[in-house]
Parts: sequence; C-alpha cells; structure tokens
Amino acid sequence: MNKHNNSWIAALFCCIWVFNTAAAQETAFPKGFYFRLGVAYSPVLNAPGISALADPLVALPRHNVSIPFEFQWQMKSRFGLVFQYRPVNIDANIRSAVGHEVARQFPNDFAAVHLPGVYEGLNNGDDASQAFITLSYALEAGKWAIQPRLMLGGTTYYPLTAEITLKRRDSNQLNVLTLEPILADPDTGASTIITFGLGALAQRHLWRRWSVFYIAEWTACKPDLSYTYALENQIDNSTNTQILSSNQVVQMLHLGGGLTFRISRK
Amino acid sequence: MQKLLLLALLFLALTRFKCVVECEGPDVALKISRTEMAHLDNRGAEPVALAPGANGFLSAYGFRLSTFVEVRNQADTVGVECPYFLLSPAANDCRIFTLTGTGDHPPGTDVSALFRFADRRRSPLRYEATADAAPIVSGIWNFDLASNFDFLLVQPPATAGWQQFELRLSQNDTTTLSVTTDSIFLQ
Repeated sequence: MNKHNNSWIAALFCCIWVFNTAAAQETAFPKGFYFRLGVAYSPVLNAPGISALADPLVALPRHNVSIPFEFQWQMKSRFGLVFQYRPVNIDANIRSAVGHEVARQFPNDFAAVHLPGVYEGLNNGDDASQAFITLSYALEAGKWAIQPRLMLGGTTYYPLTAEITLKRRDSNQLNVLTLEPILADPDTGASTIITFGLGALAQRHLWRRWSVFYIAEWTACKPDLSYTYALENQIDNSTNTQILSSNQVVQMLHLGGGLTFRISRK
Repeated sequence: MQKLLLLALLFLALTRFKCVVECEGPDVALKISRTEMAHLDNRGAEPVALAPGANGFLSAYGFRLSTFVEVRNQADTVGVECPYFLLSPAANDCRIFTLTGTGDHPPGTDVSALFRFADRRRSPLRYEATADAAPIVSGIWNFDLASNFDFLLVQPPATAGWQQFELRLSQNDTTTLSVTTDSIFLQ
C-alpha cells in the first residue's frame, strides 16, 4: 500500500516537472497577438432602485454567466491593447419576479403578467453584452504574467416592457398597468451606455502557444432607466401615467478563466 | 455513389421545399343556429358560470352569450376546396336592456352603459363598450364548440334584487337577434 502511494507521488512530481519545463520555454509576456476565450461568473453588485416594481425589469440581474473573448496586441514595451467582447447570459426569472412584486403591491387584485416579445416558457428578454477597448500593462511574477487593465467601452441591455392585468378580487373592476422603457431603441428594444472598468488578468504558459488565464474585472455604468408607468382603468378609460427613473451606478463583477492562444509566431 | 447522393439530395429538396399555393375559395355563409345564456360569478381571477338558480353577486355579476353556428346552405360547400366562411348576416350593433328595472333604469330601458364587453382576443384582457362587441361576435365562431362572449355589469345597482336582462344583436339585414337571461337574484 505504501509502495503504491509512493509511485503516485513520484508520478505527480514528474508531471509537475514536465509542466514547469514546458512553462519555462516561454517568457511570461512575449510580444505578439493573442486570442482568449473563457467563461466568467458575472454578478451585479448593486442594481438601480427605481421602484420595487420596475427593478426586475432591469435586464442586468444578480446572477449571470458571461462568455468573454478578446484579441490582444502585446507590445514589447509591456503595454498591450485589448478588444474584448462578452455576451452576458441572464439567469433570472423576470416574469416571476414581476409577478411576485405586483402581487405584493396590489394585494386586492389578481395579476397576470404579459411580457411582449418574451415567449411563454422564457423568463427574461435578450441577453446583455459588453464591449471594451482595454489598455493593459504586463508584469512578471515568477511564471505568471499579471496584467492590470484599464477598460472603456459600452454595455448594451434590453429593458423590458410589461403589461399587467389587475383584476380586482370580488369585483368586475379591471385595470391594465403598462411599464414601458422610455430611452430604449424603438426598433431593437436595446439601450447602450458608456461603461468604465478596472481589472487584472493572470496568465501562465502551458504548452506551445497555449496558456491558461484567470480574470477578475469590475465594470461600472450609469444607465438612464426611465419607465412610463401607466395605469388604465378599463371601466371609465381614465389613465394615470407617471414616469419612474433612476440613474444610479450599476456595478458588475466578472470572475473567471479560460485559455489563451498566441496567434503570432515568436 | 456520388450520383446516388446527389439524387437523394435532389429528392429531399423537391419534397421539402414545395411552393405553398394560397387557397382562396368562395364565401360560404354561416348562421347562428343556437344561443345560450349563463350567469357569471366574476369574483375570482376568471369568470365562472353560476349553477341554475344560484344567486349572483352585484359587484361581480355578468352574463355569457354562447353562440353555435352552422352552414346556412350545405350546397354552397359541395366541391369547394377552400371555402371562406363568414357569418351572414353580420351583427352591426349590440345593446343590453333591463327587463326588471335596474337602479334608476325602469324596465325596458337600455342599460348598455352599465356593462362592459370582456374582449378576450386581446392580451392582456381589455374591456370594450357593449356596442363594440357586435363585430367581435360576428368574427369569432367555431363549428364544434360554443363561442363565448362575456358581458360584465360594471355599474351595479345599490340594492340587492331580482334582475333579468335582454341582449339584442342588430344584424345587417335589419333583423334583430334577441337573447334573454333567466331571472337572477343579485345580492
């Protein structure tokens, strides 16, 4: 048994030696073009607070997964220029969240939530996306290259329209509540905002042109989320319209990793 | 082997991508063959039909018109590939009258303004004026199932009492289709 364990430990050390030898073949940040593909957990640290009802319509909820991919031009002077794009997959049941909030705010009504453009069975609208032009600076830390990053770009998201039927309990009274984003593009439903970010990438050479990377980024944007909030009484056709808005800062964190491929030869 | 593959692909393409030919046949007239009326209890999320003899609720009362249709002249459909069915004569106006008197309205008067038509074609549900129900009643029909149209009392009388209503659908040929509810005690 003891002999068996020793052979495993020997094999492990052998693997580490091979890995270290391979890693030693390339410096931490050789100049050239790189392509990276990864996956990241992208939670929203603080969502804007328009009102409890409109909050779930913000298409950047708490728990998301993003797929970042980027091209980097690493200069000899340690500076690098990166173009980064990532779709942010939204993982939130917006339909359910709106339903719960409406039920809380209108306890005397039966509510039915209708999200135009979001088919039954789907819980949220189109995914958000972010694109950045990033300036990086490569530092060497042993076998790792550490790249602090300064990011500037944009976030595109799709605020949703909601139509909610409010049928009063024990009564024929009926109201239709419509929440509609004001600043979204009427054709695409998209809204784009300038986004700023700071981040760090740690990269270690694996084998030939391949490296592994880990990424930690913080991005911040200030969306102008304005909604018309129209309550239409179906009995007398009167409409009560308000505008709710928020311009608080939305902060997102991206924590993930992936593989780097060096496009250019040495 | 390659020729065989090509032939298979060609066969698939010919069978899958057939041109869709629009089929537009002549108009075939339908008529309302039968109607039914039911009282509604709309206290819940959706209105439900009341059992015969049950009391209704003033604040959540309505009635449901159910229509059944059939082809006016069966000979019109013989040899017709794509008949275009339409209700004829079509309804052009819809009114509700009280037979017992409702609040300040004496028996026999028009109380259409006290009701709203629940337009279930729209999502979300919307209420329409009673008169606007006419084109909708003409436009929705099923051969095997009843087509249901709900009229809801949105301005109920202040006091409980017996109520009976008559729905009149004026049609293009100047005839009127009249349907009457049973008497119901609204509390």
